[in-house]
Amino acid sequence: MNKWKGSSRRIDDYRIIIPPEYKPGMKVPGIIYVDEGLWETTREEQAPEQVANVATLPGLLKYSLAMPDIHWGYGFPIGGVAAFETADGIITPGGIGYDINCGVRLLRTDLTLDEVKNKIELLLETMFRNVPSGLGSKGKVKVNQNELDSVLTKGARFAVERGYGTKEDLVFTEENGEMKGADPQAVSLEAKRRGFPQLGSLGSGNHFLEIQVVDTIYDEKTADAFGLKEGQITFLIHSGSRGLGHQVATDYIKIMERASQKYQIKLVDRQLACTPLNSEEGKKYFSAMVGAANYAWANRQMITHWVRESFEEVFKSSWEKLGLKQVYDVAHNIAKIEKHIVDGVEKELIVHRKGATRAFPVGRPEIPDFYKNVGQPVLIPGDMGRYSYVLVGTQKGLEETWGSTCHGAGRVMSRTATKKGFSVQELIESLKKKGILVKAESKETLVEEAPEAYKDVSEVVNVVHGAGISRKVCRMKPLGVTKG
Amino acid sequence: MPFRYLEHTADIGIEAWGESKEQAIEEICLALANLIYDTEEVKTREFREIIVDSRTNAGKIVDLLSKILYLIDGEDFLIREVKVDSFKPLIVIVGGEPLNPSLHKMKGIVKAVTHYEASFRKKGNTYRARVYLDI
Repeated sequence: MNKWKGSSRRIDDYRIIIPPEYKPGMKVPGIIYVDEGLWETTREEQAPEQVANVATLPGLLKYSLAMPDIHWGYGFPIGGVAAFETADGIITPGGIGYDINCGVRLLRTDLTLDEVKNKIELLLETMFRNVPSGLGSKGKVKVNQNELDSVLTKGARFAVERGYGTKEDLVFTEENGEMKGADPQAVSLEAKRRGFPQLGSLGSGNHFLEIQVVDTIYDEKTADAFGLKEGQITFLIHSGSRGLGHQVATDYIKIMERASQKYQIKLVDRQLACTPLNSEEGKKYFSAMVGAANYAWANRQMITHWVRESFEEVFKSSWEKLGLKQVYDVAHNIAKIEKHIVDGVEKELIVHRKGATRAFPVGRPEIPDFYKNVGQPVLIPGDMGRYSYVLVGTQKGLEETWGSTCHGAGRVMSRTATKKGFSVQELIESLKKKGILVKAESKETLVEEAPEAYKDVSEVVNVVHGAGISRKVCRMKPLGVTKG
Repeated sequence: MPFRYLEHTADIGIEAWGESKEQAIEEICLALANLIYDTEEVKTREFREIIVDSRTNAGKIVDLLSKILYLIDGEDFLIREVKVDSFKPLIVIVGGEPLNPSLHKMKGIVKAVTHYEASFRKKGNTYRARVYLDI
């Protein structure tokens, strides 16, 4: 892909602006949160052009935003954030992504490094056996048509009612794992057929399960409120809505591409196909997207249950005694209806976050009561060789980025290039030297996910922390990773 | 092989070609399938018909491949061969067999077929079809 040579200027240490004059049709500026180092990487491809493209969408409020893990995506860049008024704004699948509610869940334990260090391999093997994963993997949970419809409307609650986890888990999940507004009728039979057999499976690609240890605390008070402390073992789950979500996106991009013409919306990129949120097509897509998001929450809830069972098996103790509680669960590919202050007036908006995480501060009603005095936990996974972070939402983030921050490391190297650059054995050995064990169904997938394929998540997190749109709470180092 | 894979930071593209429209379409379908499994391991035991209603040539390719992806991921039906029955409307017959995990090894995952730089056109005496995939 060609290097981006468009016009832009630096606003401060952490922000680049693309002025609205840069491209015909841009209604607002583009703002990219990057420092100088990350900007160099970002300009290597056309992601900044996509930030400018998003700024052409009708009704876009204030600016087209991108987080520091920005990289090229279909329609919006990954890391893109955009808000529209619900009254007269649009909705676009290109601003959400194919893996609807791809997201992350963090569990904490009362275990220490000393207690787990000789059991990492056994834990990985047990996890690998208990959590269906890998190419073409099928879930362990069989549901009929009516039950799948319940998954789409109830989300994680469906899983809890089936015995996977507890009601407390729901409290510590964005939207309580049950986003309102789903309509199973808006989800095609094809999407459901892709979804039936995959319910309760991790998937492949960049999805993973990771045993970690908290190695640095940046904000003791907030970490304490999240139940996190140095030396503690934590567990991260990264998964999404599987084939069901991918098919919902495919179906509605086609529908919206045709409908865009009907609503006389000029598109600079077909992958930005959109319709008014209040149109028949817009409403249907929103309710199908919510269904897919709920499917993903049900999926992560089931996976949580099997992770707990795996710890019970290895440590011969109940998960409650091991303290395997949920810290939080966030979606990072989603559109949400939220209230925000726009030019001093409270308005209802639809906020698209594609490869971006909601990061709300103290005072927002969406935050669980338990965290209401500190703010929402934000979970940022890195690559399997470096770190992951817990951040917290800030007031500045709420004001500048509609309460949004980064979602991960961001890819910089193609899958083909990683396969040429590293052998599986070299990768496994180099991770082992760092004290990280890995287990994967597919050797190819493992190489594609080599740490070198990603930006350094610490650099990404330093930008959002420095810019003040979220704040560092603690850092976790991986000890063991399973990939699909 | 009359197809090649195109490098891309996050994903992958496929381009296929042939002396006729039909051949290029048949090749790009097999190129997609070969990313997910080895088509050589599949036998043709039954046939399925796919009808595509898209208006543009590029749209036809995207929609056809999306339907093949659905057959593989949603119906566990692995294709081995492809025959274009007509171009307007696009009707394609695919031959293959149901997935048997003990015989067929999956080697890749494709989430979706995208419209990004999708094209289907004639260059000289060759027809070329191209799409990028979200993987």
